[in-house]
Amino acid sequence: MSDKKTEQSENISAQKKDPDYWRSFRELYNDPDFVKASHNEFKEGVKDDFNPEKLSNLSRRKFLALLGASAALAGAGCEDYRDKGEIISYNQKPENLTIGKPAYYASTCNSCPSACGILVKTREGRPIKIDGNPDHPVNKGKICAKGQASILNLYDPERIKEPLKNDNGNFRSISWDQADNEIRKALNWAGEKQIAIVTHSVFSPTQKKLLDLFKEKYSSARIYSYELFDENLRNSAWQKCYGTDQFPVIKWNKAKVIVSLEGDFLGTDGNKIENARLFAEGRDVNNTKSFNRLYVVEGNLSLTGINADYRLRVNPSLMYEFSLTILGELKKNGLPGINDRFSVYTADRFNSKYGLNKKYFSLLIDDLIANRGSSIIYCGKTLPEEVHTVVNYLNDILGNTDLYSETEKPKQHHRLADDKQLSELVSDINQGKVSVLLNIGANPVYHFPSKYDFGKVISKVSTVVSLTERENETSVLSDYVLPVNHMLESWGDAETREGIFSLQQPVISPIHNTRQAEAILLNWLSDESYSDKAYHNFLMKNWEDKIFPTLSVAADFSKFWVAALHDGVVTGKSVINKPNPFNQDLLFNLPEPVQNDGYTLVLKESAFIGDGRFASNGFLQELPHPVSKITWDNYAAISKTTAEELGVDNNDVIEINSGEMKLQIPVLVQPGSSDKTLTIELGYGRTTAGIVGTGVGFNANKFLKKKNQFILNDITISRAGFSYKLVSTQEHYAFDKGLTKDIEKKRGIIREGTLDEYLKNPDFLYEHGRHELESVYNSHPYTGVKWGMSIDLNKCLGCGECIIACNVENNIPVVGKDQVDAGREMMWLRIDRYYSGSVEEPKVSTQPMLCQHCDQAPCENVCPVVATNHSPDGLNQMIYNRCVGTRYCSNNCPYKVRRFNFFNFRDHYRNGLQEAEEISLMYNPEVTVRSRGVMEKCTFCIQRISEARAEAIRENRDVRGSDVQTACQEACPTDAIHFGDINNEKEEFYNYRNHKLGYYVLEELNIHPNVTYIAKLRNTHPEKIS
Amino acid sequence: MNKIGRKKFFISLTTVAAGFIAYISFPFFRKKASVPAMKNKIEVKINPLAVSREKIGKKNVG
Repeated sequence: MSDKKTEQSENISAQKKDPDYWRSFRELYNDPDFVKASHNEFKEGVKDDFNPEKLSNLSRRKFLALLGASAALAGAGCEDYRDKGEIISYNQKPENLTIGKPAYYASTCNSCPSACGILVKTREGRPIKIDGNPDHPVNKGKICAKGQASILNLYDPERIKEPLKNDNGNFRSISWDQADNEIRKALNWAGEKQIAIVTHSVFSPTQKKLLDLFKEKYSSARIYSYELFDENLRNSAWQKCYGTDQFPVIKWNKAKVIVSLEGDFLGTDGNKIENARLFAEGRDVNNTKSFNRLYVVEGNLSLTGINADYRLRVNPSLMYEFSLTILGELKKNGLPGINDRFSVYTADRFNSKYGLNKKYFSLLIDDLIANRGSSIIYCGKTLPEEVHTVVNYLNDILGNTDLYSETEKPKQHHRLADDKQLSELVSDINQGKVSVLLNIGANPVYHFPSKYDFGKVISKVSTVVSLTERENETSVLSDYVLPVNHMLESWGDAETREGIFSLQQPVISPIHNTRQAEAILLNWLSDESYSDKAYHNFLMKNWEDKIFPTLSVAADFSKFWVAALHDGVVTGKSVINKPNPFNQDLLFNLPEPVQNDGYTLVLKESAFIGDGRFASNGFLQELPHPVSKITWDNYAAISKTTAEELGVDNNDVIEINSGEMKLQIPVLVQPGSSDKTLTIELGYGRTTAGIVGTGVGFNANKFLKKKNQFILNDITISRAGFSYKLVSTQEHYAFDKGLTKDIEKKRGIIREGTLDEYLKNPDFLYEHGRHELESVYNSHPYTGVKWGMSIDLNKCLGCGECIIACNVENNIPVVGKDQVDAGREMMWLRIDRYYSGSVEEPKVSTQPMLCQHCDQAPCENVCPVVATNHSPDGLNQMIYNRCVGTRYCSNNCPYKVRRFNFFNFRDHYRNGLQEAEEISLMYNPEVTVRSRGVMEKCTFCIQRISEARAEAIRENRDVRGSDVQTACQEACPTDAIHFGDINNEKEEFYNYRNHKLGYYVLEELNIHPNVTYIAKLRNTHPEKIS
Repeated sequence: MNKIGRKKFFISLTTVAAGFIAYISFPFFRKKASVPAMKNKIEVKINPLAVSREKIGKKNVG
């Protein structure tokens, strides 16, 4: 970027008092390419492959001949039409199953260590959707994107379907009996040599018992439980500070002020669903007294950062000194009990060394002092232990320990391995002390720190066995690969909070010739032949012996068991030991902060594919990043200043060197990044992740030199001299800059204010009146139910859980990176993200955008075949088999929320992957699967409305607005989305529809949208900070 | 109306039949074989030990 652009940016910022929203640098700087592209309604390339000129020069005779031949071939070809279905009634109908009605099963998700309670919707025996279990006390009916998208993993055509044995590099199928016998022999021959079991978090008490039994039988067995991103640093610091083993649960809903240091507690820091819900309780426009204030101090813009009221850019490697500076300033401001040695750490000192927004920092200090006892300082889990120690101390002296839960305590059944344990494992293998390596769902070759070179080390183990759902970097180096059940095919349990037990039950019998991992281990322990019910019986026995007696239940165990499976979760008692007083000695052993003037590399967990476990999940790969909106890739996020220093721009590839490791990766210039900071998300660059995940993104795991070291300062950067295209959905649907300069501001697409403004003048949003326009159309009288939606932008975090819910509910296909690049992504719901303010310290606004179901819908007027029309209850509906694909409706839609099937994406994407038999089992039978040439868009989940209406008719009553929950609403962890009857004053939705902060996007078009947005209130201090 | 010759009729019939056989046996969709298990017939079975429930219902325990 040139100096001219920088100057232009500064001028723009200086001239404006009100926010001017922008979506990307290209838009902010009026990049000629962007301006040119924005004069076109759709993205360049969107119509490729559809050039009508190629169809010219066709004679009448030839046309008729082709028509005749096509008809004949179609007639002959239809005998094997791809959608041929067979409808066969049950000869023996399973109990409790009504054809056409869904059955629900409560279970437990194991996509991450949070182990949320889930409710699985099945149709005719097929699981088709995963939602949260409303009875689970932690996640309370909500579930994250990974959990929802894991339905796709169940039906992944690339799952391993039978046991495999490595025959000199070629895997051949073997029987389970052969695999069991050969592995049993290997285990028995191990003798004194170690049997190493590598697995992820153990959150199941019954799995823990099984592993203990395994260790009893094979005394040389050792368990290495690990996560790429874990809580070890936080827990270790807590242990040293207070003497108890686990960092407590935070009551975010009780905090008036939250300060997050490099912590993405609303995103990747774990327990996000509960955190988001509790945080959003402090963003309730109907209870403005409870509004919290969020300060985020971070190096790169995170999901938590985009929701901050105040955000400070600080290089993460300086976070230790920053935390000491908070301590020093608190002392300076008279907070008693702080040792004199911290007086030297002042804001001036930090500012002079590294630069600091002193105004925001001073507000932060004032707020912490003013809200002693009701504020919380949170430290990100990737920061070094000493930062956690200082943060624990800060919370202690501020009296914030009341915000730690006294009723719930996290539970860890097996301590996660640290660097020392992993070193021991590798050392033992190198010394030939390990005879058998069992990888249970783990992928150590990809995850373990690079210094171990585990891919080579593994060859020194005599027998390597991988129990996995699909091929990975470790399984291809294993001697045996045993396919395991998906979580929806498995029994199990979880206790992630002391006394809260959830059960996992198989909602479908194994689709392939797979077995549950625990059942495989159990079988090796037993001399009896394998039984499908063995682990089920083991689980029941463990509950009967260990868990049932701790619960105060009057019923006998057999009744209790069925009832517990029904509920999915039972709660017992939790004993929380009061922590010891803070260990003051620690303060004298704190290290001196290290000066850092060079570049810092920060490695973070991917927003959606986690540590790479979900790389083969197309839903998650295609879900736009909540901040950058990049899909199908990772990148090095850097600030504009750093980009200028390096002489690079978006898509330019840089080479990062650290010791012997180097990586070439494209750059994304991310507004709000701290200077000299490169942030890369891990989980990408998989070499063995199937047809979907292999080769997507860049593997930065190689920079992990030791466990939990995510911040590196010893890096050098150079330009690679070529570029790589990152695909972002950010600029899609931006159009006609000439006519609509500053469209977001002038046309009020985003409306926001401050809490103070609202309290002083609740009508501030409509100070200048509303748009009152005459319509040429008579408005239609809606006498019955009229459907509408409200989206509270105060509670909407921009997390994207709603998008996955919509995708799964409505059979929306994955299209692939090339198609997203052409602007052909099919997601019915998108989350627009706008920046305002300066490039360096932008404010961020997010806005879910979906079909607004306008009363006077402009799309309906232009459809030549009336394929889109209006229902009597106010829905803008699509008739797929009437649509001829003119795309006039999309052209005329001011919100750009219509999606056109340029291909049959089931057939087009990844060589027909989505046409596999397994994938078709995932589809919701209540929603038509669309094919090429058809327009589609949000239906307000009309299938759910129909279901509610049928139920109301059965009960001989009118359907109510509250009978229906749309998929996005159901998934939203903060309840930002409400849906209901616009005409029913008694419903909760009615209050949101008519809220003083409610507004319609593009209201002035007079098309009467039925989606109301509740304007965002920033809880900044009364003086307006632009 | 001109009558079609017996010979021409059978030639046409044979040509159409040969063309149809060629069409149905031509490997238009061979590429899909690259996706494993495309041809797998999946059998869906409900686990009889699982306990279903209403979406929103009363808790049985506690």
